[in-house]
Amino acid sequence: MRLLLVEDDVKLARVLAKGLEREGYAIDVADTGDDALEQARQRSYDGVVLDVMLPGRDGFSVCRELRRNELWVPVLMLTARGDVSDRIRGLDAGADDYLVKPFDFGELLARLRALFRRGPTERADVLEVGDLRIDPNTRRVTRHGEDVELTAREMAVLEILARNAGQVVSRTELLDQVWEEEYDGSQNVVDVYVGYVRKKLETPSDDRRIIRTVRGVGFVLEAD
Amino acid sequence: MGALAIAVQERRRRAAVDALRAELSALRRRTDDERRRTADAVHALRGPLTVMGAEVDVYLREEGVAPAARELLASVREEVDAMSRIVANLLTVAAIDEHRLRLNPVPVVLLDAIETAARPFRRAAAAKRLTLQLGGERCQARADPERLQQALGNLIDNAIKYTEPGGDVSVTAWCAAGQAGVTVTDSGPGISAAARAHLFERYYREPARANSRGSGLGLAICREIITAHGGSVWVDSEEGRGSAFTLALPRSAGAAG
Repeated sequence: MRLLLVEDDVKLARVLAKGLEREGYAIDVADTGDDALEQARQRSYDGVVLDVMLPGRDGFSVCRELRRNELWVPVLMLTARGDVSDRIRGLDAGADDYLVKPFDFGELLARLRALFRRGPTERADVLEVGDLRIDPNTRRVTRHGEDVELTAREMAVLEILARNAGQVVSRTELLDQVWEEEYDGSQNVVDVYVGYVRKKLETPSDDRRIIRTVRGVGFVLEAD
Repeated sequence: MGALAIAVQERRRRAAVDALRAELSALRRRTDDERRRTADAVHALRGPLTVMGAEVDVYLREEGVAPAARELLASVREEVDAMSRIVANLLTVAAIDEHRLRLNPVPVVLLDAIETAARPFRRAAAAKRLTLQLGGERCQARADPERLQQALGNLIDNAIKYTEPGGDVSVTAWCAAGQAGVTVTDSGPGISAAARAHLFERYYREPARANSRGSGLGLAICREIITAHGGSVWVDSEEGRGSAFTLALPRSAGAAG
């Protein structure tokens, strides 16, 4: 197992490298974001431990760049700020997990093992339709920046509509993709679920439906 | 007094009020700057704490460390944890005061959460010959995992700190209609009614325990974090018979809830 450790604090990098090597990992250290990207492009790693605060290009940017280059290596982010915006920014940038400094070394090892078990995960792009934002990876949906909580099935319905934004998706298509074979009841169930999604997405200030019903055909998520 | 004199006086009064206002807003700005600088300074402590913690952790994993050295380093590690908790609490105070405390609530299995929260205290409990018991129902609450850890850590820390050697501390997860929570019970000296009234105030130190260590922030932060989740925190206690601190959170709609 070869790991890339990206940390600009010399002492922390040294002790983490030492500890990880003792656990049997081969470690390469990078102390800037650009250096990290350079190394990640040249050699394939089983995992990246990535500090957020780096001189120049920060950890978020490194992670986004890795994903843009279709490098799906598991990334564990180290953040010195436990606040929500940092954590969410990390996951949005494509990190797989995060650990808040100061941390327990045993916890770092446990998180890394969990990431290795999962292996590289290819990520779908975040879908943006107007003021609607859908992240299929974290299953987070926001509208006007506000979180919208959807059940798994509602999320699946919305995701299909969003992937075809501006185009009509038929009831049969939705039924096939969301309910698969298990369901052989009425197509009404699609209408019911679209109704749930609408109810959760729409706000009183909307002047029209965000998901429009096309009579006799299906539904369309308005593209603008 | 003539009309002119009144007008002059009025103009002077207004000028004085404006000057005061300007002074007040300058003062406010200065206080805000000061607060931010203090928070930044506290934040900077996390760097050295991270290095210290990692150095000790990595060294302790080596074989052949002499028992005395192991003992000493484990004790240093505990102090690093204690300092990290103080730093986290101070930063939380700053975040709350600047209205920047943001939560990212997700379904959390409380049994797992108390297991994680109790881990750093196992050694301290053993050193005092305390029985530290974890258990309860497998419930899910909606909570920000990091913040919940902080709140639970503060409660467990207190229970261990204030319970006499040989006593019992139990941490129990429970669920009820619409709520799920954790109760931390100790066989400590209990808390007087007078002290209970102020227990959750920032920097409050119970007179009877004022000489013990603690920043006076743990319980206040715990309550502020849990309240921000739409939950509540309370204490049941009787002098001489121990205390039970409970935090209650909205229950998660998750299937295992």
